[in-house]
Order: sequence, then C-alpha cells, then structure tokens
Amino acid sequence: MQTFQLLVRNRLGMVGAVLLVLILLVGVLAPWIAPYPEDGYRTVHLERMLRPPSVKHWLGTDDMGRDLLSRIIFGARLSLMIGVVSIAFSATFGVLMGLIAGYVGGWIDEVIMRLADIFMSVPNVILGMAIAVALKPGLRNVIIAVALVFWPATSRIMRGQVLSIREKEYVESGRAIGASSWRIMRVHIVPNSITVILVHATIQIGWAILLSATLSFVGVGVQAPLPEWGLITSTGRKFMLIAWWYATFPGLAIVLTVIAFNLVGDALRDILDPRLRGGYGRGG
Amino acid sequence: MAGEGASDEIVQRIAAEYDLDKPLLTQFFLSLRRMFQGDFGQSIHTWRPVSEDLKNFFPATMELALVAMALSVGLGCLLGVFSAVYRGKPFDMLATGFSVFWLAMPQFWLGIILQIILCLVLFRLMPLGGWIDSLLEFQSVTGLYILDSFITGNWAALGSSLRHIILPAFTLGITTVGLFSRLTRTSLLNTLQEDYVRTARAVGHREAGVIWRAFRNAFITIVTIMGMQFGFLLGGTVAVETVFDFPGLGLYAAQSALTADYPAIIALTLLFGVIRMLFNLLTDISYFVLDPRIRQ
Repeated sequence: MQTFQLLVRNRLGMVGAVLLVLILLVGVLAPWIAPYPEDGYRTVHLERMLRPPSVKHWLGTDDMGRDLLSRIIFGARLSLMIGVVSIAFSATFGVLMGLIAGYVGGWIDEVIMRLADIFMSVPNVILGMAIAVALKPGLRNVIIAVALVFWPATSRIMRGQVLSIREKEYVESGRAIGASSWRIMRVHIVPNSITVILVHATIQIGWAILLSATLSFVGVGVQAPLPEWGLITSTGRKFMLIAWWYATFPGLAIVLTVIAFNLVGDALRDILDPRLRGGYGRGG
Repeated sequence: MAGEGASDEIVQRIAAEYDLDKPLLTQFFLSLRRMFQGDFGQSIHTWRPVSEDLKNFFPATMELALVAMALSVGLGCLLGVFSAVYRGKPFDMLATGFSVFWLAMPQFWLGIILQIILCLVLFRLMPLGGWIDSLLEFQSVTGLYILDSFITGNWAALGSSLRHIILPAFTLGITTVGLFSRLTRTSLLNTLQEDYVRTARAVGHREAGVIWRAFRNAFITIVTIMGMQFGFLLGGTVAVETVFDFPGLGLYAAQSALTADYPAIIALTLLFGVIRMLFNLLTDISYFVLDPRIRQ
C-alpha cells in the first residue's frame, strides 16, 4: 500500500503506470474495441489497400486493405505476451541459477557465472538472432530466444543478493538452530531478494519487447499474418515511399510501450530499492 | 543443400565434405579446430568462404560504429554540460525527457522515420541508403571510405561517404546520447562542488575554463561507458544497416539469419563477442593513459 502511495507521488512513474494500464486494457479488450476486429489476423480487402488515415480508418490501411489501428490493437496482446512470458521464464531461470551459484559456491559458481559471461559477451540482437535461427523462427521460439538472452543479468543480480543475505545474522541464527539449506533459501533468501528481481524484471520486459520487435523486423521473429508490431513495421517499410503511415504507427506503439515499462520500472526502483539508482544503459 | 532428388552418391559426397558422416562429438571438435585456424566454412547464401565475407564487410561496420560513437559522445557531452550549467531549468528537463524517449526507440523505426522525413519529404536531402555513390570513381586503400577519401584527396568521395553515413550513424548513436549526457551532467555537477573549483573561481578564472577543467575529469567515466556501450552499438548495426542498406556485418548478419546460413551466423556471433571483449580491454588500458593516479 505504501508502495502504491509513493508511486502516485512519483510523477513520471505515474505517467508510465497510466500508460501501461491503458496498453494492457487495449490488449485485453482488443476484440471489442478494435474498429474492424476481423482485420486483426487473416483477411484481405483489396478494395481498400493502402488508404491514408481517414475518419473511417484512423491510422490508414495496410497492403492487404486491413485497418492498421485494429492490427496495432491486436498487436498489443502479442507484444505484451511475448515480453511478460519471456521475462517470466528468464527471471525464473536466472533466479534459480543465481541462487545455486551464490549459495553453493565453489566450482559450480564458477561454471554458472562463466556461462553467464559467455552469453553476455555477445550483443543481445546477435545472440537473439542466432538462437531464433537455430530454433526456427516463430512465436514460441522468439520467446525462448528472448528468455535466453536476458537470464544472465538476472542470475548475476540474484547471486549478489544471495551473497549479501547469507551473511546476515538472521540467516546465521537460522542455520544455528539447524534449518536446512532448502529452508534458508526458501524462507530467507528468496523472499528478501524478490523486490530487487521484480524491479529488474519490469524494466527488462520493455527491453524484451524491443528485442522481439527487432527480431521480427529482421525476419527471424514472429511470422505473418500475426499482427506483431515489429513485423508490421518491416512490411510497412516496403511501402514507405507511398504509404508513410504504414511503418510509422506500429513503431510508435513500440516506443510508447517500452517507455511505459521503463518509467514504471525506474519509479519502482527508486521507491523499493534506492541502491540500484543510476543504471540507464539498455545493456548490450 | 544437394537439392531435392539428389542421387545417393552426391548426398554422400556432401556429407563427407562437411564431415556429416562422422559421430556428432567428432564433428564438433573438427569444426572447433577449423575455427581456431580461421576457417569458418562456406557461407550458404553468398557461396564464398565466411572468413572472406567477414573481412569484406568488417570495415563498413567499424566505420559506421565509430562515427556513431563519436556523434553519440559529442552530442551527449554537449547536452550534459549545458544540462549541468542550466541545472533545473527547462533545458535540463527537456534533455532528461528526451533521453528517456531515445532509449525506448527501436532503431529500425527511427531509421525509417528519418528516411521518410529527410529523404522523401525534404526534397531528397539525403541518400536513402548505401555506403557511397556507386557512380563515383573511388580507390579504396584501407577499406574505411572516409579515411580513404582523405588519404587520396578525393573530396567528391568524402562528401558522398559523409552524406551516406550521417543518417545511419545518427540512428545508431542517438539511443546512447541520453546515457552520455546524464553521465556528463552528474559527474560535472559533482566536480563543480569540489574545493579546487571554488578556489579557481575565487582567484578569477573564467567560467568556461573552470567548466572545461571539470569536464576533463568527468571524461574518464565517459570513456568507461564508451567501451561498454560499443558492444551495444554493434548489436544495433543489424537493424540500422538493414534499414539503410549499409553493406556491413549487420546487414550480412540479417541476410544470413534469413537464409539460415549457420556457418556465417556462428562466425558472426564469435566475431561480435571478440570485438566486444577487445573494446573492454582497450577501455581498461585507456585508464592508464587518462588517469595518472592509476599509473603510479
């Protein structure tokens, strides 16, 4: 509750939160609010191809005559789903790896952390692309690729958390009265690190959406006819000379969504964990 | 690879050529050995040796990334200095707002928007894509076109390559401008509160000179981040080079991905990782040059 009050007081965070709720609502209510719900996926209207924005079609139509606004609205579901699911996977895996590395230590720690280093040494887009191609492009594999790109960062943060928490006195006393390692991890370490991980994950969802859009733009991500924003932008680019709206609006949707996640993530970080302040990089 | 309906003999010959008839583990170590010898096999979509392709496409990406980094640091530092000087004023707040915006921007989208605005609306002010005007007579020496046109004194080529590189470099570099401006702002504000700055002001040094000295101290932090961000810039080349048809490693990577060109993708992943590590090493070395305290 206190967190919520602090969030309301954080102006930029509030802007992000409102934006995020709006995007979520748009995604959830897509079939009801889209002006042409049938245009979300596989329809063709040759009679209204590449129409500029008008009263009938607020954001114009695409090369198949589909209403662009409807497609972008349906795309919100897809982008949010990819972002949230992939980060849920990467966070779970990262937490697990960090927990093992930090708690067990020794050579297992070395192996896990060096593996994370290898993943982090390759730029995100290149790594994501390599994994997506190896698994064959498609929705499911994009989620796996994005999750595999983002787990090392989480595992490093988690490991740091474990190393600091395990030295705390309450953990020491737990151990003294004979609590098992499993119990210490479950009762002390995980609950005490969850805030930091959640804040980190919120910001990562934005980057995950950006990465998946880039993969789709290049052609190794989500495949047509799914209304993924990066994919629509990529198709729109082919018609850039005659239809400026086609590539412009889906890209704008990506910008707004990523900004929303960043603002909320930054605000949560300031409120919940002031120690993490000051990291602005998008990460390689 | 042999095509549909290929005879058994051809299939076996290709399997033998690529060691596909050997056990999986043996295949792995054989390909590892070849990689250490610089042999990454043949690209599936260009039909040339991958190492040759990498050598051909590398200079364009380096030139693009270096110009992008220079633009990003230059603009970032300038904005950061002004934000620190006009702290809390509208300029400062605007610069902070923009940094949030740039960071969230998909580079492929920004590239397209710039193309629409600058190339189509504003009377074809800039070329839509490419590295240099293909009709120009131009002799490349190092493979870096801007440097080459300087060396050979070919000013027409210099103009053309600059006109071609400015939009992709801006698109690639702008996302990190916010990072550099905030970094400059914070370290400058910290330094400006130091005692020696007050002393310098008190004895009557000009304000611009004081800020310049404070900025020089802030630059060490900026160099660190520069090295770390270089890897990020390299990742961005995939989208940017695709949008601007810039013939570098990024475009090559995108095309390899589309054609499932595994030899090329494996080599690119390795190469990008190595370049990134090299830049991290260079960053560490640069401390010795920049900070006399570490040298002692």
